Amino acid sequence: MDLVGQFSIFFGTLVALLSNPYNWVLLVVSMVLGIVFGALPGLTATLGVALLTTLTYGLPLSSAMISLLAMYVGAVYGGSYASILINIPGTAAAAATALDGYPMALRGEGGRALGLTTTASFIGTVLGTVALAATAPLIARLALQFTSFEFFLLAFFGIVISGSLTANDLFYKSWIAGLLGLILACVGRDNLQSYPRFTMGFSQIEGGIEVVPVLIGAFGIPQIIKTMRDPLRAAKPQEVRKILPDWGTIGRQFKNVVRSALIGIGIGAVPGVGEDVAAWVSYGTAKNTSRHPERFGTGEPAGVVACETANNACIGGALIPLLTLGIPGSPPAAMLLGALLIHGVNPGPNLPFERPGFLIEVTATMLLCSAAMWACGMLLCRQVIKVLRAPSEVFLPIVAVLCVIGSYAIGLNIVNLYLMVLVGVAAYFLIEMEYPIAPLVIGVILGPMADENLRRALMVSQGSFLPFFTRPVSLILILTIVLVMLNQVPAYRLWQTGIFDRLRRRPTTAP
Amino acid sequence: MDDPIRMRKADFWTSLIFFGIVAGMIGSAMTMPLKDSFAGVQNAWYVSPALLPLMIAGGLFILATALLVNAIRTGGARAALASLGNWAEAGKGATARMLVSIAIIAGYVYGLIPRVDYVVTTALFLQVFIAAFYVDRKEVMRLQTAVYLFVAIPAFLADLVGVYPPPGTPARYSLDVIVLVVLGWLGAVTWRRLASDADGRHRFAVTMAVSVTVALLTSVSFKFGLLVPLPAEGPVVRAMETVALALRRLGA
Repeated sequence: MDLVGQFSIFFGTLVALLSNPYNWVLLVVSMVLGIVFGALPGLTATLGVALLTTLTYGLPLSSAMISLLAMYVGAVYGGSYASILINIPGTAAAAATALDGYPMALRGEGGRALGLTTTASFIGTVLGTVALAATAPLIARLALQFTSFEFFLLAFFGIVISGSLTANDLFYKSWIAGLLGLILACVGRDNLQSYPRFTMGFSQIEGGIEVVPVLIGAFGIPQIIKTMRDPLRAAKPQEVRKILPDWGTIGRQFKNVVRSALIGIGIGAVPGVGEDVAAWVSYGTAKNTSRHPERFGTGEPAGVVACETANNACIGGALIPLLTLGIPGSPPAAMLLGALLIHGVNPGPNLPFERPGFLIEVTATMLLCSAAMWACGMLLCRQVIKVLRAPSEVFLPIVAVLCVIGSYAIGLNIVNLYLMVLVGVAAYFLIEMEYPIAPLVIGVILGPMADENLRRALMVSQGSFLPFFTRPVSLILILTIVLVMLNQVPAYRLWQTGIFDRLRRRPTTAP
Repeated sequence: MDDPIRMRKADFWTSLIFFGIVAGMIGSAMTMPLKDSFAGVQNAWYVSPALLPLMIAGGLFILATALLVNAIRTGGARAALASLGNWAEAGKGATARMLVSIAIIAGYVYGLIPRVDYVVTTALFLQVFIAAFYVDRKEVMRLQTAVYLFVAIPAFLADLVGVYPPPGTPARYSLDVIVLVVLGWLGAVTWRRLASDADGRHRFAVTMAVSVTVALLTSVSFKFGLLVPLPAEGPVVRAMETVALALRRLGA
C-alpha cells in the first residue's frame, strides 16, 4: 500500500475513534487515572495497566486499547509531578526528573517545570509513535522470514537482554530470574504432545499458568509489600503558580529533545528495559554534552526536558518489539501484552495479516493519548497535585483488592489468585535480593515460544543443532546473545578494557 | 538489602532452594516421555516435553553453583549458618511490617476470599490492612492482625481437610454472618481502644469509611457492571441482588 493510502487509513481510523463519544470519556478518564497513578509514589505505570487490563477485558478492543494506552502514557508522564513537587519520584521513570525539577520548584518555578515536562512528554510520545509507525511494518516484514530456529533464539535473546541493563548485584542473577520465568512457563500441558508438566496433579493448571495474574503478582504484590513496609509519608507539595507550556525553552532545547527521544525509542525497543533506564541514560547524555554540565542538579531545564522526553518516547519504542515480535519492550508493555492476549490479539510477525488495521489503530490511539495527556496536564494539573497528599497506607490496600478481584475476574479461577500471591511474594524476596524481575516476566511470556520453536526446529533438522549456526539470521542472533552475555561478565569487561587501553596507548608510545 | 554480607547470606539460602528446584525438575522430567512412545507416537529425544525443562535445570544448576561458591567465598555461607535459629529480627520494625503485609494478603487470598461473602471479606481485609498501618499504633496492628488471622487460618484449614460447608448451605451462611459480626466487633473494640487518641480515631474513621465503600463499590461494579460472579456470594451479596432486582422492577 502506498503512503497516501496508509495516511488515509490512519485519518479514517482517527476519525472513527473520535466519532464515538464513549471513547472520549474513556480517553480522558483513563488519562487522568494514569496521571494520578504516576503521580502517587508507590503506584506505577505497570500496576495501572495491570489493573485496567482486568477492568477493560469486557470492552471492545479499540476502546480497551484507548484506555490501556492512556493509562500507560499518563502514568509515565504523571511520575514527574511528585518528582518536581515533593522530591519523591512518582515512578522510577521520573526519578531523574527530580534532580532538576525539584530545585526548579524550590525557587518558585514549579509551574514552569511542570509545563516543560508536559510539553517534553508530549513531544516524546509523538516521536515514539512516529518511530513505531515507521519501523514496525519493516521489522514485521523482516520477522516473516524467521523460522523456528530464529524464533527460539529470539525468545532466548529477549530473556538474556532484558536482564543485561537491570542487574545491580551479581550479573548472573538476571539469568537466574529468566530461568525461573521459563520454569513457570513450562507448567501445564506442552504444546506439541499435550503432556502435563509440573502440574503436581492439579487439573486447574493443566492449561498452563495464566500470564496476567502472574504479571500482576510479579509487579503489583512486591510494590504493595514494599510500600507498606516503608510507607512514603505524604509531603506538602511545593507551590505551583501558572502552568505554561514554555515552547521557547523547548525550541532552544531542540537538539536535546531529538537526542533524548532517540535514546528513549532505542532503549524502549530493547526487551524488558523500561522508561527509568531511558530517563537516566538521556539525563547523563544531556549533562555530558551540555556546555554547562555544572548547572545540572541545580534546576537546569535541559535536565527535566531530557528525562521527560526520553521516558515518554520509550513507550513507542517499547511497542515496536511488542507488536512485531511479541516481545515486550518494557514492564508496562509486558502487561499490555497480557491485555492483548485476553482480547484475542497475538502480537508478532503475523499480526499485520491477522488484524490488518491494528498497527495503524495503535498509532492513532497513541497520538490521541499524547494530545489528551498534554491537554489534561495543562488543564487539570492543579487538581491532580492534590492527590499527592493521599497516604500510601490507604490507597495500596485498595490496589491490593483491585489486583485480587481483577485477577479473579479474568478467568473466574481461584487458582489464579493463589498463583498471583505465590509469585508476588516470591518476586518481593527476589527483588530484595537484587534479582531483576523483567527477565522473570519475559521468561514467563516467551517460555512457550522458546519451548515450541526449539523442538520444532530440532524436528526439522532431525535433532541436529547445525542449522542454528548455518542460517545467517540465526548466527547473528547467537553472536549477539553471546556478546550480550559476555558483556555482563566482569572478567570479560576487564579484559576488553585492557585491550582498549593498550590500543589507546600504542600511538603515544610508538617512536 | 545494602549490606553485602546480608546479601551473600541470602544467596546461600537461595542457592540451596535452587538446588531443590533443580532436583525436583530433573525428577519430574525423568518421568516424562523421553525416547519411549507417548499416546501412540514414538518419541525422539528432541521432541520430548522434557527437553526444555532439562535444559533449564542444567542452566539453573550451574548458576546456583556459582551463587553458592560466591556465598562460601565471601563469608555469606558462614554467616548464614551462624545466624541459624536467630529469629529476633523478624519481630522488629520493617521486617515485622513486611511479614504483617504478607500475612494479611495471604489470609485474604488463601483463607477468606474463596469462602466468605466477598463484601464481608473485603471490608474485613481493608479494615485490617489499612488500620494496621495507617492508624500507626502497635496495639491496633496487633489486635487487628491477630483477630483477622484467627478467622482466616481456620477457614483455610477447614477447607483443606474438607469440613468447610459447601456454598449455598445454611451452615455456610451462618459462617458468613459470624465473620460479619467479627468485623463489626473488631471495629468497635478498636474504636474504644482509641478513645484517648483523637488523631487515631480520625484515622480509624477514615479506615472504616474506605473499607466499607471500596468493598461495596468493587462488588457492585464487578457483579452488576462487568457481570462477573464474585468469588464467594453470601448474605450481603444476596441482599445486594435483592436491592438491584427491586430497583430494576421500580425502573420498569
